[in-house]
Amino acid sequence: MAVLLPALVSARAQQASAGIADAAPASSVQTADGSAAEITIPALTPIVVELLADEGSGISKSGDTFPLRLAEPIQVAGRAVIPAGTPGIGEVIHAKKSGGGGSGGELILAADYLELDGRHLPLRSLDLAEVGKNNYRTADSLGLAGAATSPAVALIGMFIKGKQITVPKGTRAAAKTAAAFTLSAAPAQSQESAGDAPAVQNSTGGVTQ
Amino acid sequence: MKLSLVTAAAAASIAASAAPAVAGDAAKGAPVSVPAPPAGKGQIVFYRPGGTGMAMGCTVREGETKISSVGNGKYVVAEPGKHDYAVRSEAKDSLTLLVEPDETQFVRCKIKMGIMAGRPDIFPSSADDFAKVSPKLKMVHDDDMGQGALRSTDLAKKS
Repeated sequence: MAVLLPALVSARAQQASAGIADAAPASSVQTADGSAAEITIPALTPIVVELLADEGSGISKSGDTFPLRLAEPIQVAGRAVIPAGTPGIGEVIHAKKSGGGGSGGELILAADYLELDGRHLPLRSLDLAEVGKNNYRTADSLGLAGAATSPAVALIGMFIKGKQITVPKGTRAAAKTAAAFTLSAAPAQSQESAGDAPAVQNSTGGVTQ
Repeated sequence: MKLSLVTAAAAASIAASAAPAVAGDAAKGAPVSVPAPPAGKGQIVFYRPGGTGMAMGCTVREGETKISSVGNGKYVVAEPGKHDYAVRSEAKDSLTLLVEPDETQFVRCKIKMGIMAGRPDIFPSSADDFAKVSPKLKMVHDDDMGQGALRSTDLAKKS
C-alpha cells in the first residue's frame, strides 16, 4: 500500500481473508457456435480503482460518497470483460480531523460498486485507510515536562496536533469484487478510449452508455 | 457491515510471524496469532500498548453496552455485527469501520493527556503494528470483557 504520510495503519486494506465461501470460479456459458455467451467474474477478484475526487481527513465527512472508476480492465481467463474507466461509487466510512494531544487525522474509504448499464457490481476491501502521523510523543513529552514544572504548562501537550491525511484525486488503490457477477461475453472496450460511449454489454444484452 | 471504531489487517499475516502464539494462549514474548473469523463474519482486535495513562482503562462501548475494558498492555477480540463503538473519559472518541466478511481489523487505543484525566483515542491500526507490539500484550481478563468480546475459550475453539 502506498504510504501517503508516515502512516500507522492501513485499515481495511490489510484484511487478508481466509474463508472465501462466496468465491465463485470464473465460468462461461457456451453458445451454439462454441463461443462464450456469458462470463462470470468470481467474487474476490482483485481490481484496481482510481479516485476521481480529493479526499482527506480534513475535508471529507463520514457518510459522503465519492466517484471512482476502474483503473485497469477486469480480466477473466486472460480476457478483459469490464473495461478500464467503468464508473463507480465509493464511500467515506470514517473521517476525523487531526486533533489535540497529538492525534493524527483518520480516513477510511470504501469502494461500494461499479456501475454497468444500471447494474451494480459490488466491491469490497479497498486498500485505502490511513492514519496521519501522530505527535503523541511530542505531546506526551511536553505534558510530562510541563507537569514537572507547572500544571498550566502541562496543558501545552493537549494543543499539539497530529497530521492530516490527504488522498488526492487520481490515487489508485486495490480492491476486490464482493460477489460473483455475470455479464455477456462481448469484448470489453476501454471507456477511456471510447470517450463517453462505452460498449459494455450486460447479461441482458443491453449496452451501457 | 459498518462498525464504529477500529482497523483491519490480516490474521494470516500475523500467523506468518515466527512461532506465533494463539490468541488467548500466548506464550510470553511470542507474537499473538488471532484465529481467522468464522466464515462469513469479520472480527475486530482492540489493543492498547503501553504508554501514558497506564492506570486508565480504555473501555470500548457500543452505545451503552460495554464491549470490553482494554487495560494497558492488553488486547481483546470482538465479533462485530454491531455498529457504534466509542470510548470516553473526560472526552469521547469514536471510529466508524467497515468490517467485511472473513476479515480481521485492528484498532489501537491510546490514552492522551487530559486536564483531569487521560483522554482515550482510538484509531485504525494494522496487522503489522499489532504483530509488532503483541509480544508484550496480554489478553484482557474475561471478567473485564463485556458483551460481544470473545473469551479465551471462544478463541481456543476457533484456532
